[in-house]
Amino acid sequence: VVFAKAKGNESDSNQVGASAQEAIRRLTRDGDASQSKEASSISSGLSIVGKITGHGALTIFGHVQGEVRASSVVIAEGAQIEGEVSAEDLTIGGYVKGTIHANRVRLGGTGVVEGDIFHRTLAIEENARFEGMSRRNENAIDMQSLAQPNGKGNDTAVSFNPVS
Amino acid sequence: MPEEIRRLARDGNALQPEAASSISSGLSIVGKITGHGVLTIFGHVEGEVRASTIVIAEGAQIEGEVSAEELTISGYVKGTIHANRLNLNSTAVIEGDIFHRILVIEGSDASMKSARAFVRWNRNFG
Repeated sequence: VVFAKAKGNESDSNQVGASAQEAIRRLTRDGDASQSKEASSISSGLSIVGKITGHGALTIFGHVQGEVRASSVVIAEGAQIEGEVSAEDLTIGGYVKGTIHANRVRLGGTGVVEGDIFHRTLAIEENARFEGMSRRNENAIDMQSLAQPNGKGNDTAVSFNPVS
Repeated sequence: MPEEIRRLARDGNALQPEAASSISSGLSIVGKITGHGVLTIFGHVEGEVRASTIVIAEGAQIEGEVSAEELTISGYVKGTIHANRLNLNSTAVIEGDIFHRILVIEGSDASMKSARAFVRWNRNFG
């Protein structure tokens, strides 16, 4: 009974986004979306209060209050981050208030940083705003904790972590 | 259309940042996620999750309350679920209460076997 009811209501509840939703649903179900498992994205409509950790690429358009750690982080224009940001590669086009640890930092022309930057290489484009201290470190980030956010599993002989 | 969505999901949706968010399998979030738009989760989330449309993909793990207008679950959820329209795929595992208006269960045998859910039907959701 539930099934028939749901099917019947489907056409009624169809909206503009319904076909897109259907497509996403299909992609997810078919495992076709495995390609998107590598890259993360926080849209401009989303706010996260808390800690984001992991590996892979992360693009932020929205608001984050808390720690951000990933291999490659892009803070897009319009994005707002309040908290510590750690990455191997970091591109900033938005607003960051907090300490930055990254091997490669690129501060774009629309970027605003209020806080200290610890980096191996630092590029600052024209019109970017940076208030804080910059310090060069050969290893600006703690790679171990970045690759293994839980800090566990170090005892195993087999290493699945390509980053040394 | 599917091709575009696939590309958007893969590229982190550079074309329409308003529209879609994606949390990859390599990512963990401990905290509160709120907002509107489409959110696809492949990774781990500990905390409250709220968005217009949420897809919890196979392999994803959520511990916390999940609220959405449209919610599709193929992964694991431990917590209370609120959704206008809930789509449970056969790989979904739910531990918690489900409050919904429309509930669709695909591959019902598998779902009901694996899911330990208390399903309540809400006419006046929202």
